[in-house]
Amino acid sequence: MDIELISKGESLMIVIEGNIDAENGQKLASTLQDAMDMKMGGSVTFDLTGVRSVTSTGIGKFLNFFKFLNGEKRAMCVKGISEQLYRQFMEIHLDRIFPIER
Amino acid sequence: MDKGAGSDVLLFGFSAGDSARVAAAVNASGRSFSLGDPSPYAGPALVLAASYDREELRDSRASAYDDRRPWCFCVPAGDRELVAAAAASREGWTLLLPANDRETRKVLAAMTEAAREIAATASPGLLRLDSAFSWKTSELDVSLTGRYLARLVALTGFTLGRTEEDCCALALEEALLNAVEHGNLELDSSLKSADLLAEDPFEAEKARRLKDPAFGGRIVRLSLRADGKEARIVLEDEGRGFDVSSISSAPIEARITGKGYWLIRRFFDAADYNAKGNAVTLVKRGASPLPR
Repeated sequence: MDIELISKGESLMIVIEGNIDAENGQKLASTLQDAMDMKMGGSVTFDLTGVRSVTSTGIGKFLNFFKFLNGEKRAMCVKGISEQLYRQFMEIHLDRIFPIER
Repeated sequence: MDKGAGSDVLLFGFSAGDSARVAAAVNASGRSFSLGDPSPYAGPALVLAASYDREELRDSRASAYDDRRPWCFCVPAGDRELVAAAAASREGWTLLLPANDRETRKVLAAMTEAAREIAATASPGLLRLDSAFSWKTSELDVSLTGRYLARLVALTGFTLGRTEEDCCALALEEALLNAVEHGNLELDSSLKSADLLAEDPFEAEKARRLKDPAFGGRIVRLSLRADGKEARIVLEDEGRGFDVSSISSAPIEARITGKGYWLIRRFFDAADYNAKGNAVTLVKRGASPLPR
């Protein structure tokens, strides 16, 4: 799994390539920690175009990160997800927590 | 374009450019490959990706291969755009080819061997699989193992497309993770932090116990029986078990934990724990569509 942080003004784009699995959950957490340390004030968009599956650990990391952003009154959204991943996220109503776009 | 008799692996190029370079390297490796129409061929395929267009990659692949044939895109590692296009196509696997032709030959030769093994396992004559596995907890890679097991399930007659196989791999990974973390390592979910922390107490304790032979030396056992009509997997750990009545198959969206069992049940028709809570039997009957 590769993760790239791309800042644009105060906004941040996080591009993930590869599956988010149990073995790389800590890498995701560490990168999200880096994103938190950047002290930016804008929205964060996850580009999951290159992601085919996300484990429960990965979902937990997204929720943790959302909680941090929400505490700072910052928006988070997910875009570019596959049909299968979209259905998975919808089943647990993640769209009620943050916007999800295919 | 012709199909050579007795090919080990089908090599299919979309266009010139990189395909020609890699094909030359493959020929120099002394292996027997084919270029061209793959329709009569049932074995695994290496697809030389030479297009930056995600849709073109996907369409070309779809027109040439069905979902049950193992295959992967071959892309030059240094070409970021092509690597990204292959990954973004969400089709098959992606094999990164070194820029150096000599290294490319070595990678393709190794890939040929791997593909030959898959082809042998994927033989149409394979009617039934009855296998047993065991791993030392400290050495078990749950992600890779989940993918490997899902491949085996797919090869025994289940008509799993790529998406369903991903779903199967994810379910198996979650089950293996439960056996490791909550079973053999006896880690409690309450250790999981509700915040993103540089020092996650759950992960820190997990790392400590994996190194402790009293925990990390415990065994995870798995048996897999599949015949195309039903796949039955029994996964057992050496932990103390847990209160099976606490399982929820309907996770609460905002909660950080408690989604593993739901992901297991998304693919398997049944996931039943024994009374002690240290063994789970997963059953998949026939090929049913994923929930919509």
